[in-house]
Amino acid sequence: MNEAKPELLRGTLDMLILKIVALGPIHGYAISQRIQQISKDFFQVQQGSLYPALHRLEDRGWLAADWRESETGRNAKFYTLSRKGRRQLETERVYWERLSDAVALILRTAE
Amino acid sequence: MHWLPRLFRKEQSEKHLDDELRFHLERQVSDYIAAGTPAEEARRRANLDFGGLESIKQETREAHRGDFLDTLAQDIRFGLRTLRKSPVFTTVAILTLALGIGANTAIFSLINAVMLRSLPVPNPRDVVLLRWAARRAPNIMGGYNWEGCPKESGDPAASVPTGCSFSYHMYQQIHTQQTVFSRTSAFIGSSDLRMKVDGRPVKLYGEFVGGDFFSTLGLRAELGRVLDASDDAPGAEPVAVLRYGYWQNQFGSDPAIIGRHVLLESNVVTIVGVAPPAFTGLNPGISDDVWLPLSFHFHLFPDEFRLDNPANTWAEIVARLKPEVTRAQAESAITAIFAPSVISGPDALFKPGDKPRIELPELAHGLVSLREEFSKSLFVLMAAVGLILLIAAANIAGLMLSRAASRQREIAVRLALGARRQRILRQLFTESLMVVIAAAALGILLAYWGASSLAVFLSANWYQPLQIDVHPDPRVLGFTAAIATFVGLFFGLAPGLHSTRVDLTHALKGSAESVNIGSRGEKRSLGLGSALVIAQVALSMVVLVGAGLLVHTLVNLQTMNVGFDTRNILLLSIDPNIRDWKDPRLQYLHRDLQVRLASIPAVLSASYSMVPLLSGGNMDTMFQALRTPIKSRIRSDELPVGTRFFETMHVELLGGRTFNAADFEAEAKPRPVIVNQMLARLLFGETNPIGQFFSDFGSKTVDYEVIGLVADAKYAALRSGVKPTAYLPLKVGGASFELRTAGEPKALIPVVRAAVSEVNSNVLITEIRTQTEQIDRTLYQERLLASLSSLFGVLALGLACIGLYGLLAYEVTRRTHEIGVRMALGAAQRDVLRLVVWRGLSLAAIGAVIGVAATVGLTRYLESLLYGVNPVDPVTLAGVAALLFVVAIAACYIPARRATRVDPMIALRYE
Repeated sequence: MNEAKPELLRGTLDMLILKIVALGPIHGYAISQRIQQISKDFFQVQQGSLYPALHRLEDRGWLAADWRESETGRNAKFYTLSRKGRRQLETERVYWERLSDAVALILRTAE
Repeated sequence: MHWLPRLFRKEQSEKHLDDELRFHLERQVSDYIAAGTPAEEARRRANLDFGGLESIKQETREAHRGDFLDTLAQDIRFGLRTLRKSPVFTTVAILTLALGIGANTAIFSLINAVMLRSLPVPNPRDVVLLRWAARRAPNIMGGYNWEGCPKESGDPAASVPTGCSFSYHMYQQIHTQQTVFSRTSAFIGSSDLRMKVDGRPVKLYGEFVGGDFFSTLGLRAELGRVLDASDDAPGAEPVAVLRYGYWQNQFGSDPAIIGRHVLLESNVVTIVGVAPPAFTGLNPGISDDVWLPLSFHFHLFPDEFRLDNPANTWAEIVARLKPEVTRAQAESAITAIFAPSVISGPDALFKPGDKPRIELPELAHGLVSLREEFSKSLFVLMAAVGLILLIAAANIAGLMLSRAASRQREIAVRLALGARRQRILRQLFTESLMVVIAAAALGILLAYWGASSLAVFLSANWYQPLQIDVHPDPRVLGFTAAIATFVGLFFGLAPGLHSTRVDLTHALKGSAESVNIGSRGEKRSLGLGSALVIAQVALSMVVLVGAGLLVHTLVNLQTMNVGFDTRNILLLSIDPNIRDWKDPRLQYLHRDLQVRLASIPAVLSASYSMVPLLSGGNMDTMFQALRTPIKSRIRSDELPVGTRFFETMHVELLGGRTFNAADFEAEAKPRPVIVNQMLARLLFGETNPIGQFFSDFGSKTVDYEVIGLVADAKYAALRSGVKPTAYLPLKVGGASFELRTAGEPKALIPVVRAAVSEVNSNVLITEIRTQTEQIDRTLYQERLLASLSSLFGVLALGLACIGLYGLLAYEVTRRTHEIGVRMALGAAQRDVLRLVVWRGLSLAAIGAVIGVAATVGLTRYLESLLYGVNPVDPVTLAGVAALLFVVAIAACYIPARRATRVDPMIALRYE
């Protein structure tokens, strides 16, 4: 059931989190849901990777966090993208595009 | 009160983390319920999705960088608690390692001080020494070869003659013509000088240097100025620069020293400066007290060196390469000045075919005197302490292993509760690291103390005081850190890796003793433990055999028959305050002193000789027999002596007579001579030598008449065999005195001092020692090696036996049940005793065999240090093996006794 779903590369997860948080304040559960939705259930994100990643990004100052009321009325920890995080997202996006272009080019020419 | 808010924050962030994860979990549950899953099933699935809450928490905590320190603090606290719980283990481990690390650091400090440390000058790698090399030795007309001239290392043709002495003529030529050095200066090695400070005489060591000496090295004065070219001009006012430490000790760091006049060798000298504190001269460990201009040397000792003769070589030359010039370029440039000049003229030093050339060895680490003297001993000691460290590390690894085994329950519980393997390893490693750090800190203290004592010992036995600086510098501390890390990794990680591979079911189910029975982990632990003990025994065997050989050597040297009676002789060296060695007053002084010293009641007989026997110094010459058909050269030692020399030293007179007063007055040839048996045999074969004649080699006249024949005796050194020796009446030059005493020679020292100053108050006693002390001094490296290596041998043996004991004790505890069963089935105490002792002895035997094999391979490196003993000496090997077995049996006996006291009932019920 799960074996077909590759685990995310470490750096990739960070980038996806930054991208999702960039859309607006969001809590951990919603982030995991969102990643699965937009990747059409392709990626499997373990909570064991998600929360350490969130805290790591917060620790580096790329994410800010505060406690606010969630859609169910309970208090939840919401993450927002900091200015530093926005810059980081841009760097990673550019890097990722260059990487995937390069990989695609290799695959094409190798055919 | 910083910890309170921190603690509060920590609690809060813990709560936040908990809330955040719980929120996630509950949302997941409610989403599943909303999708139609029954509540119970929804909760189960959500939990399954989520994974281990605690481990996610832990990983999330560690995502914060600050938490690394928190974890470390936690590990350290936990480690301290664990170490405190077993104080014996902790103390033994720290002390053992501290000894190992300390001994290594101590020896390394000395190696660093005499071999590795750079001269305290800017860009030391640009400083070079001039050295000549040629195919044949030069035709030198006197001069001086200073110590410390580096010999080319690693050169296959190392036997080519080389030297660092140049004539004054050559120095001037190079000094004025060269273009490859930024500066260059001549200097001549340390001389003992007498200075009068506030009316009292003191002895000090001075180096005479060219005017560019300090500027070549790039040194500025700490106070006042350094010497410059004008100070070295002929007829310049004599000036001096003091060593910083000498200025501190002798002049109490008096800043008013500049411009002060002192009386040096009866000349008024002005002190113009103090050198920088770090600079003690070019020879590491051998400090100069004062630097004086070369021109002043010519004034003080006009006869010592000849300035006009290009074949009289005595000046060493230091130079600093210009930054843009390579060594090879400079070598060929200076050779171009040197070679043409030394192969031409009536005083040519070399023939053109000798291909004389100049080499420029680096002087970055200074001259090599002490390096040459001590390097062999220091490397042997370094090897010994390296082995000790290995033994210590293996020992602690063994201790750790049995400790880890008994901690398996604890570790199993922690693993079962979800602790990750790395986390536990890190915890174990932190513990090891704490032990190592404590040991290294203690070791550095031990090392400083040990290295200082060694330096004091070396200094006391060197012919001038040494200042070996053993303060730990970054290189020493780096070395200590490196070996500490090495042992830490060695004993910390290996047992740790093993102990996290625990079979949880077994470990948790049974008692500590039954952990792992039959599993792979157990075999490994026992195998590793035995291997560690075997390694310790083998290594200690190597150290012990080395020590045995060195002790044997020392005993051989100390107990050999030297041909005279070494007991109850007092030796006396004097400075007569007469500089001209041809001054006839010198000989009157010798005779006066001899008469006065002999009149001391407890002195049986007094005499003097050019140098004391067995002091390392000698004079050699060449003789020829008169009636040999071929012109045979007979190489012989020669010792000028006073009257009653043979009577005083108890050298047996075999024929003829000894010298009388008339022999010292006779000027005409042939001169009276006394020969030893070996020289007599070479000159005259089996015929009676008394009344026979012989000559100096190449002489056309009959130079000597043999008046006496004495028994063979050693002259220069213990290690060299007896040489052919001729004894002549001492008629020119200085002398040192020998007194044969009735009782303990040292008791006479005050009386002797008084007697000397009574004869002439200007005579300075430079040294009083017994003949045995004199011999001991020439043997100081042997003594040092013998005593230190024995100490290390005992240490190694002790450690190995502690290791053996520890392993057996652990095994007995572990096998209590088995022993109980055996005894219940009828095994006698004797059988149990044999079981344990047999196990221990077989380990020791395997170790000993490996050790012997290693020894046979290794001790040949000691060969040049040994005397009268074969590097593979069966007696030493057997002795060491016997010692090992005796101590090993003792180490086995205690655990074996404990095994016999196992009560089968208790042992079986315990399970």
